[in-house]
Amino acid sequence: MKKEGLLHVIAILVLVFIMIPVLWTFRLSLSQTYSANVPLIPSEISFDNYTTLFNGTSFLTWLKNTVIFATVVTFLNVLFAPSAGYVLAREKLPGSKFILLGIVSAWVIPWLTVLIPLYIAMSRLGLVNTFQGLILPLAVSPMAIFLARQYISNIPIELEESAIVDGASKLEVFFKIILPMSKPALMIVALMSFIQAWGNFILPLILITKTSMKTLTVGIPELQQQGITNWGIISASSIFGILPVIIIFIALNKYFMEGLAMRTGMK
Amino acid sequence: MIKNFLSEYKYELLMVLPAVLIIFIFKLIPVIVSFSMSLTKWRIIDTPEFIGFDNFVQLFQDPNFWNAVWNTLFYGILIIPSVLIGSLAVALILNSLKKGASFYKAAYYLPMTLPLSIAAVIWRGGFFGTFGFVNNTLTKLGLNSIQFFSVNLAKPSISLVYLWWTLGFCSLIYLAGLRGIPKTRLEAAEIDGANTFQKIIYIIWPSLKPITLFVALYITQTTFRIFSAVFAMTGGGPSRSSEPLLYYTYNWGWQNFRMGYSAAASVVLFLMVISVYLFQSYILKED
Repeated sequence: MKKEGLLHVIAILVLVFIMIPVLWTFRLSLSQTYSANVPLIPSEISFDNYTTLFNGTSFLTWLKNTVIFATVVTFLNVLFAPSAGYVLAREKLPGSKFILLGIVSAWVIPWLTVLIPLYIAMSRLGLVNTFQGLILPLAVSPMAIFLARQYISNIPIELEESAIVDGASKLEVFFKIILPMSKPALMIVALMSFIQAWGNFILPLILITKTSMKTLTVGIPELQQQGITNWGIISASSIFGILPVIIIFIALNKYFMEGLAMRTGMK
Repeated sequence: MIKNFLSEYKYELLMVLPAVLIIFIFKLIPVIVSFSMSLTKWRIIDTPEFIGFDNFVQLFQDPNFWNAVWNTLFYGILIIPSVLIGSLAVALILNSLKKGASFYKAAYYLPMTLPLSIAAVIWRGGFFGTFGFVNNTLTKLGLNSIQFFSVNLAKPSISLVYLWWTLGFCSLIYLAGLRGIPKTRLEAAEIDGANTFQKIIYIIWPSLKPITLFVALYITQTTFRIFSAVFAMTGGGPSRSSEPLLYYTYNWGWQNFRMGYSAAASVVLFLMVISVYLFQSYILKED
């Protein structure tokens, strides 16, 4: 009991460190201010920043674009990562180690280094200012494959072997054993690819020129007027931009828990 | 023979090929193109001219390049261990809490929902700035204010933002890894009379090695290509004291339009990350 209390104290300290900037952002969004020097408790709460955001700017269009972009990217990654990760974890193909090194190399390359060749390719394919152009480069995240691979390599191989002895086919082993057991990792893959698309700055920056196709990351900075930072509106847009991600998190968390129930049930 | 290979590995190929193809087209081919750019002199308007390793020779003679390499390593030394140890500790704590774990989990994850490019703007002015939250509070308490973006403090300040941004997310990954450890193994250890510390050393840590390698590489590559936070907070200054290698690359490529030279710097960055990966995977070798 005493131990539980101590753990809560540490957890709350971490919580304070993490939450203060977020709460401060929320606080800033409630005042119309061009300075960050505002009192801790606002004298009057105004939601004007939020109304300006919805009526006076293209915020909602950017939000819609970002949601479409991030959702499709997440879906594709959850589709591709576990199967590739499984084959690489069990080294089912000759040259798996080599493929893995290729994937890791692809992961560590900053987008900045490939921008020019990527832009040339995209404009040849006619994918500038389209969703396909944004989605394809992120559709298969090397990071997601690597995570799936690392997680799956921890699943006891005996489970698979006994299933094969029982006459299960290769595909059945994957769908009936590996996939259900990797649910916690798949949740992380989903979150990670969602965030990668959600927070991606550099791809939309070079691939999107039309205002109607912009995402939040390139749209929000445009709300700053020449040289002056409107803290209120920047904060309001950041706070509102968080909401969809929280919804996704809560939705995925349910699956995460389901995966756990299944796992403890299996032992 | 090829036919045999195809029929034997039918399913495996089906499972790997789509992913590998997309990565190949959108990441590896552009990178090969950009690496070959590093052997040319190219200012965007003219045609690339092959000059061998001249860019690299020039690079190694530039003190600003070594400064950027040093800064990148400095960020790595500050951020990588603190995030790794911090997130593992947080995950262990959340894992042993009986109540409230899912609340903390959701809250810890919040920073990453703010795109870093935007979060950094808020940290700069609203939080670290002369009139920001921290200095306002310090002044009210009668203490001296802190210059967060001075030559000495710029790198630690930026690193703190990175710790804030990644800590919760990395502990979620660790948490998923912890849940993956078969309960039977832990119970068996308990029956044998192992205490918490022994359980961590002999059971939990070895089972977490693959996940640790992932978190380590994740945080390494995030740190080594630290960019948008620097861009938003210090612009690399004061007097280049917070300028990382990717920023150096960006300046030469997108500000001065020396594409070949910039590509050469990014080749060095790439080799740095890959060697850290090989080092980490050697240390965390799976049996």
